[in-house]
Amino acid sequence: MAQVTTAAPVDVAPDGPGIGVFVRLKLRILRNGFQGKPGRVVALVFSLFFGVLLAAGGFALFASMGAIPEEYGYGIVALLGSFLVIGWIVMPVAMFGVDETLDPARFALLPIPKRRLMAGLLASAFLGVPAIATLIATAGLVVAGFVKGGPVAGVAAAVGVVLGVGTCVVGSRAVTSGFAAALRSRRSRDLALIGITLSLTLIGPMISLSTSAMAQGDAESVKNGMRIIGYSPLAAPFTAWYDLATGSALLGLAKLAGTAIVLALLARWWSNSLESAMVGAASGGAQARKDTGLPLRVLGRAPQGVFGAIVAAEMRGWWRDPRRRATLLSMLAASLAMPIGMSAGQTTLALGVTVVWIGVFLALAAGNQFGFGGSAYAFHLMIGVPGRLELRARSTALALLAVPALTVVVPVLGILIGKPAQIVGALGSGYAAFGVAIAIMSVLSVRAPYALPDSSNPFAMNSGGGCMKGVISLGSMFVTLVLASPMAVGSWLLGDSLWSVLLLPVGIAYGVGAAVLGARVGGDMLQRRGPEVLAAVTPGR
Amino acid sequence: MSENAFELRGLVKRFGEKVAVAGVDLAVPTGSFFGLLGPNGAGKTTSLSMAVGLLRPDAGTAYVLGHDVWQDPIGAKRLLGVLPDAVRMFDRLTGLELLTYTGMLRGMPAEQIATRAGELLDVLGLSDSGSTLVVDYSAGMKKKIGLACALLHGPRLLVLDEPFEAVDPVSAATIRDILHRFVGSGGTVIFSSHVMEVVERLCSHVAILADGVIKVVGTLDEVRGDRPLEEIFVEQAGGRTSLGEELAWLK
Repeated sequence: MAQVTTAAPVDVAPDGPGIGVFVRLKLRILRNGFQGKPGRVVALVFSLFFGVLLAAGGFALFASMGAIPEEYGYGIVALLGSFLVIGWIVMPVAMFGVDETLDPARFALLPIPKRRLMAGLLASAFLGVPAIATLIATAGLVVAGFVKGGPVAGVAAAVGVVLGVGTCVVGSRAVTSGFAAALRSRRSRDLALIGITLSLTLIGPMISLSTSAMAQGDAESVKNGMRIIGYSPLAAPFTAWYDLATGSALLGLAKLAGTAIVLALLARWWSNSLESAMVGAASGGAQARKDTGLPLRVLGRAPQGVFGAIVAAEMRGWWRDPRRRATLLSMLAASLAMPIGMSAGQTTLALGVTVVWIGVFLALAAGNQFGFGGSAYAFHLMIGVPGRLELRARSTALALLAVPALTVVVPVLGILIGKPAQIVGALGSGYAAFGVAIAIMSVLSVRAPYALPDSSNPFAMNSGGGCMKGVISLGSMFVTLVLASPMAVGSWLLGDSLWSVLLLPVGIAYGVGAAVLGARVGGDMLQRRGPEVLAAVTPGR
Repeated sequence: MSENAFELRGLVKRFGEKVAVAGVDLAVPTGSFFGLLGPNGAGKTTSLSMAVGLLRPDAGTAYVLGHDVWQDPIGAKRLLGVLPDAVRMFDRLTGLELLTYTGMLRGMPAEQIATRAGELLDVLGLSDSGSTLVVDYSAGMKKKIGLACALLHGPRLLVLDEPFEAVDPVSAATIRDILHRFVGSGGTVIFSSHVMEVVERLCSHVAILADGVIKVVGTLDEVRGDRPLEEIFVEQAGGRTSLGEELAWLK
């Protein structure tokens, strides 16, 4: 190209802005977010409290490894370390979302070199209660390292902790933005997506399965199992110092190097999906939509009246809106992983008890159902859709998607864990749990709606909102489990007996009854609180 | 070629099977005030997004004063000020904070940021909004703060998507003055619009984009000849549907 006609207008730093700018920007946005929002301040205090508790407890626990013989300590560190990393990677996808205070798309117009942008985003990603708490907790290992193996092991532990926490933070970013990129492209194979979500959510249960299997064996095989886990990139950064302390320096260094490589690969993955988040940002609604969901087409073709119209619209929404689909699919995956994990090994739990979880998870997706559409709820409000009708229709739509899933999953699970006699009864428990959960969600979605951020990442949460969301989900899950417990007790008592078949009609009645009651209570509330719900779910503040 | 501040070359974008932009070539001369016209859904926003590095094109590229937007994004973005269509900003900041952080992220010296941000807020009538967060701004105010962000670093080329939409007449006059001064001092402006009066009043050059391609391009006088611009526009956009017996119930 020809020469530049005008000189560059301002003197700018060639490497882009300093990392500090990103950190200060995040802090400023967080601080502004608290202004006039007492709820958020309470949530912050809550998460700070738990953060300090976990950080202090974790630090003490990890530091105490210095006083425990290596043959026990190593296994404990390996297990805790891998759970930590898995939790960091799985939880944002399955439940909490990821803090996107600094949405990468908003840097798209600025002349910031990519490396610098990544460094800045990474530095600001560390700026949060979970990351800092994790760092403090695992720092206990540095103390343990010094006690066990002197300065060399101490330094190795410090390096390991930094690498390990880095893996946690970068891993969670990479996985969520990788998923987001996959969900954005219409070509994404949904089945593949379910597969990936499932395998991710299954890592935890698989480890607990293998350890519980090992626990039934002798101590020697337990130790060997722990050794193997200790080599995995999940636990390697946290166990490397043990090897240095016990004289296998090469092995320890290899573990640290391996973690560094894994970390680099994760960062690379993140950087690639980051780019797709940035240069796809403007495509917005311009994407050509194809009607993908064949079953939905069949079911949602003939809307009759307001009820049918909402049901059809909702079902399409669950499938087409990437954010809703992400929620639904990850709930589905979690609902599969949880009972498999619980039934691992020689459990005596009845199938019906574990299946209650599936029902609850499937309904959790509806916990903030008005939030997904944002201000689109205004249309319903303007038309004057009756509250009860609104919630009945929304519950029906989710049920039309979730109940078939439940009906397939429960028998498969029953066969997998070798309790085919309990399948019919367990189905009853599952339906009942789903009904109860959807009832709670109906009320909750009216009582505690919140806006989802205007972001291209379906896992994005409003700054400071992640904790709130987590507390609400966990609380409502607890209530649901309590309310669904009669069915669980029933299946436990009846076990394999033929009488357990009775649980099916009872469960259906229980579930439908609960759902109808929930729609009534929530609907009356919605009738009164319609404008408040709209205000709460409208993105903005 | 050196007299072109902005060049779009063979830009193509498909969304699924729909071709949104089917090969757009456009040369915007340095110092021109360029209006990009087109009916709704013509591909204006998509073309401009690709040309400023917000949306990866399926084919083609764009040059900002000789810098390839997709090969040398840093060089291009330094010379470029953009007001995107749906303005995505860090909206949980006040106007001053937003400008300050934008300047810092662009690597500008702090004093320069402070002076320029203060002036921009004053001129655009946003100084009184003090501690109001951008998220709580009205649509017109958001446009104005977006424009301020685009101007802050002293770009040589301004790409503005519907800059006058939702802006009140007083602010619109201010924005026109700012843009005139910018062009007068050697800068180049291209903006999209479908308001004929604005374009006829401001622009030295126009292009009409319809069905994802440039239909007409040239100086304002070349394009309109002795006819009103609106007539040319309607003609190029495929004519208008006359209202016959349809909608008879609407009374």
